[in-house]
Amino acid sequence: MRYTINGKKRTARGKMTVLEAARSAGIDIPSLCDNDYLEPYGACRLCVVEVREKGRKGWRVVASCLYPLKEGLEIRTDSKLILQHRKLLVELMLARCSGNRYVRRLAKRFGVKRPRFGGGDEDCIMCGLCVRVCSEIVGAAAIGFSSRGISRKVETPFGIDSSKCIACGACTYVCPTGAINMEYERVIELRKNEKEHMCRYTLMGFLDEAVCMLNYECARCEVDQRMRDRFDTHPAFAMHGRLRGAAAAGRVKRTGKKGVK
Amino acid sequence: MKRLLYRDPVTKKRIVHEQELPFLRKQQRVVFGDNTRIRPDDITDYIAIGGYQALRIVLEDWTPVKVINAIIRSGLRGRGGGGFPTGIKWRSARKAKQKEKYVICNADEGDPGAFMDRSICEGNPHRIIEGMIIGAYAVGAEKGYIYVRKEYPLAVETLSTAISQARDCGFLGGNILGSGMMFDITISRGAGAFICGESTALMASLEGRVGEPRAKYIHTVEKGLYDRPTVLNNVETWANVPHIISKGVEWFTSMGTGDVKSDPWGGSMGTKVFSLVGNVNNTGLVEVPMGMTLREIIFDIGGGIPNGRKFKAVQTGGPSGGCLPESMLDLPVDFDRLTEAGSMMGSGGMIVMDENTCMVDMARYFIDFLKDESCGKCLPCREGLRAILEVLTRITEGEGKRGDIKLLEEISRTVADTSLCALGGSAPNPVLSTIRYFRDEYVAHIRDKSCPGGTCRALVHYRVIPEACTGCTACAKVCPVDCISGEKRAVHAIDETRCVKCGACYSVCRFNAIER
Amino acid sequence: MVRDTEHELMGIIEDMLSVKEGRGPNGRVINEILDRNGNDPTRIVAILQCLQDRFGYLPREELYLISDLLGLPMNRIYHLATFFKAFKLTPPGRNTIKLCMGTACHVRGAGVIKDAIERYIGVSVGGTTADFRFSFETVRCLGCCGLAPVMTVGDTVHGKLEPSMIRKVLEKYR
Repeated sequence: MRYTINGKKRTARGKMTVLEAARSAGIDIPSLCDNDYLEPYGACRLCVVEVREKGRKGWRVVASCLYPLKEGLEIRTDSKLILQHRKLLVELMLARCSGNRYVRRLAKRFGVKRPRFGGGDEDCIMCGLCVRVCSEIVGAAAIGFSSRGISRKVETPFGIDSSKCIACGACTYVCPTGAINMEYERVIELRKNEKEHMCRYTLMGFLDEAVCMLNYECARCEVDQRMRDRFDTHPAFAMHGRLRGAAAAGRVKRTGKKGVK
Repeated sequence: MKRLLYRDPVTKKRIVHEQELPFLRKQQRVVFGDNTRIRPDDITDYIAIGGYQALRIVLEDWTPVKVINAIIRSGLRGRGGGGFPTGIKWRSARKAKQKEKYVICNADEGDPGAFMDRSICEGNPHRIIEGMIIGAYAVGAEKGYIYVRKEYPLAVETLSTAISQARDCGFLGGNILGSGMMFDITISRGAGAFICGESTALMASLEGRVGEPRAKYIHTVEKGLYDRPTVLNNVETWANVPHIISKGVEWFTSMGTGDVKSDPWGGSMGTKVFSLVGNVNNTGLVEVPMGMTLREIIFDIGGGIPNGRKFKAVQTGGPSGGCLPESMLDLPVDFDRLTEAGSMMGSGGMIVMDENTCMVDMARYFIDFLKDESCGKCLPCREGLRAILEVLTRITEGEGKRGDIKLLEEISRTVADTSLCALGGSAPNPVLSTIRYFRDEYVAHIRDKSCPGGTCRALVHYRVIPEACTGCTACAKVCPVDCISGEKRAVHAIDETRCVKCGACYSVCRFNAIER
Repeated sequence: MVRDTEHELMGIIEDMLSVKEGRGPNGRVINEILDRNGNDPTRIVAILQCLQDRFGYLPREELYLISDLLGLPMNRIYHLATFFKAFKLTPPGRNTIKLCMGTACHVRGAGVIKDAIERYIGVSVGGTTADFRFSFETVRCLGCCGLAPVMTVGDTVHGKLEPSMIRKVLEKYR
C-alpha cells in the first residue's frame, strides 16, 4: 500500500490505521484515548489529521486513530488547520480540567495559557481508557459511564462500591490524568474479608495460590515488584499478553512496528 | 353555509373546493396524500388504492439489479437529512459480501416541531412496509427493523397492526407472494435520545448498547448492525419507493431540480414533506416538489406571518440547521442549495420566525438543545457546545465582550471539523448561520447592550406608559413578585430592581400601557 | 466439612432457583418481562421500558436481578438507564408536570412558565417535591405547538399558559 505523509512517499503492508502509519514513519501525533491493547475509540480527537483519498479533490479532517490507511492516501499531520484545531481542543480540555497538572502541562506544550471560557475543575477527561480496560482486558466491568453530554461521568453503577471490582488497579494505571486512585487501606480490607482471601493476581487468574504471606499489604508485595521489572507494565496488560499471545502479537503489528517496510 | 367557507385573505373570495385552497393548491401530496383516503388499520384500504402492486411487479418481473437501477435513475436521495442517493446506498449493500443483511427504517424523528414521519407512520404504515420489502428484495436482506421514537405510541400501534396484517396477507414472512423471498420486520421503540436518529447510534441502540455513534469511515452499508451490511433509510425515503416503481422513474423525475441522468448527486428529485411551524398563519405539514422557493412555501402556502408582523428568518433542517434571512427567500429548496446557503434540508422542519424573535437567543436555544442531546463521547461536541453556549449566554445577558463573535466562529469551526458524528458536525450551524446573516444583532447585543427582538430578559426593560395606564390593577395582580405598585384608577409603576421580567404584566394589559 | 460445603451449595442453588422461578421479591415479574423479550440481552432497552411501565421507575434491586439473569454487566445497564431520558431511577411524584420546551413554546415564553412553576412547587427541573406531590420535568416537544406554551400534568394538557395561571392550575393537584 502506497501513501504520502507530509509530502513523503511511503509504503505499508497489512491493515493499519493512519495513526499507526504515522508513528511507524516517526511522525508524532498526540493522542490521549489510544492504547495498543484496546480497540480504537476516537474520543479525544487530538489525533486529527487531514487526509485526501485517491481521486478526491478535497481534504477531510479525520481522527487518525480510526481512519484506515488506504492505497494512495495523502496525509497531512501538521497543517495550519490541524494545529489550530488541536490547540482549541486542548483549550477545551483545559477549561474542563483547569486544575489538573497533567492537563496543564499538556496545555503548556500546545501554547494554551488560559482558556477563554469556563468549564470546571475536573480531573477526568473522559478518554474512557479505564472503562475499556476494566471491561475489555480485566473483564470485571466494575466501572462504566453514566448519563450523557456534559453530565457524562465515569463511575460504578449507582455510585456505590461495586462488588465486581477486584481492585486490580488497571484503571489507575492507564489513567492519563491521575483522576482515579486506589484506596490502599480499603484494598487490604477487601482482600482480607470480601474477596475470599484472594489478591489481584489470583482474581485475574494469574496465580493459583490463594494465601498471601504479607497479609495483603500489596505495597510490600514481591510479585508486584518482579512484575514491574519483567514487563514494565501493569499486570493486567502483562497477563493480557500471556493469555492471548496471538492477539497481543497482532496488536504489536497493528501499531506498525512490524507492519511497515 | 357559505359564511363557513374559507375566505381568501387576498382576493376576499369564498373558496368552495378543497383543491382551490391556497394552502393546498401549490402542494403536491405524493407521499402522504393518501393518508386521507385510507384507514391506516385496514390493509384492504391500502390494497384498494393500488397498494402492494409495486411489490407484486418487482417480485414477478424485476431482478434486484433492475430495482436498484430504477432507484438510482430516479435520483431519490435520503429524506432524513443526509441527502445520500438511495440507489447508490442499496447498490453498495447489494455488493457487500456478507450474506446476512439488514434494512432499517429510521422513524426516530427527534427534531422539535417536526412530525412528518409520524404522520406517515400513523396514517399510511403499509407504504413504509411495502417500500422496505422492495428494498430488502433489492439488497438481499431477510430482516428489517423499524426504530420508532418513544413519544409516538400510536405510531408503534399502527405499525404493529400493519405488520401483522401484512404477514397474514403473505407480504411478509417465509415465502412472500409465492416468490420464495423471506423477509420480516421487527419494531423497536426508542427511549428518548435525539442522537439515536444518527444511523450508527441507532444501530448501537438496536444492539442493546447505549446510543453512541461510531466513526463512519467504514460505511454502514458494509458494516452496520451487528457488523453486517445494513441499509438505513428514513420513513419518507421508504415511502417514496413504491410510487417510483409503480408510476415510473420518468414520473418521479418530472418533479424536482437539477439533472440526475448521469450523476445521482446532480439534483433533487420528487417531493419533500415539510413541517411548517412557528410564526406563520397556516401551520402544518406541507408537501411540495423540490425546488419550490422558500417564499412560495411560507407566504403562498403558509399564508404569511400572523398579526401583521414582519418576516425575519426561517430555520430549516431541525436544531442543527441554519437560519436563513429574508434575502434568501427566493432560494429554491433542494438539498444542495440549502447546504450552500449554510443550512440544510434535514428531515424537513421549517420554523418561521417574525421580527419579535432574537436570533442570538434562537442560536442559544438550539445549542442548549444540542448540548443536552450530545452523547458526550467525544471532546469537541461535549466541551465545545458547552463553551459555545457559555459565550452565547453571556451575550444574551448583556455581558458579551469584544471578540466574542470571532471566538464563537473559532470554536464552531473546530467542533464542526473534529466531532465524531453528524450531530457535532452540524451542531454549530445555527451559530454560524446566524452570525453570517444576522451579525448586526450580535453586535447590538455586545456593543449597544440591546436586544432588537426584545426577548433577551437581561436587555429588556418593562415600563408603564403613564398616559395609557387606566389603573385597572390587572398587572399588579398577575405580577409574581409583587413589584408593581399603584392605587386603583391611578397610574401604576414597576419597580425595576425587583422585576423578574416575566412579561406577565405585558401580556395581561389590555390598554397597551406597558412597553418593553 | 464435606456436609457443610454441600449444605452451602444447596443453599446457593435454591436461592438461584427461587429467583428463576419467580419466588424472589419481584422475581416473577422480572421473569415475565424477560420471557416476553426472549431473554435476549440485545433487547435490554425494551426490557427496561417494560420494567419502567410496570413500576413507574427502574428499581435498583430489580436491575441487579436483570443483570444477573441476562449475564449483562451492570455498568452497561446503568449507562443505559442514565443515558436515555425516558428512564427514571427514583420513584416519581403523584403528579408529573411535563413542560414543553419545544421551539414554538420557547418562542412563546416557556422560559418564564418554567420559572413560575419552580417558584410554586419549590423544586427545579428534574426534581420531585419532598411530599411526592409533584415531579417536574421539561420535554422537547409535546406535539401540540398550536397551544404553546403548553404543559401536561398527568395526562391533562394545559395550553396557552401564562405565568399568572400556574398557581391556579397546579392548586387542583394533590
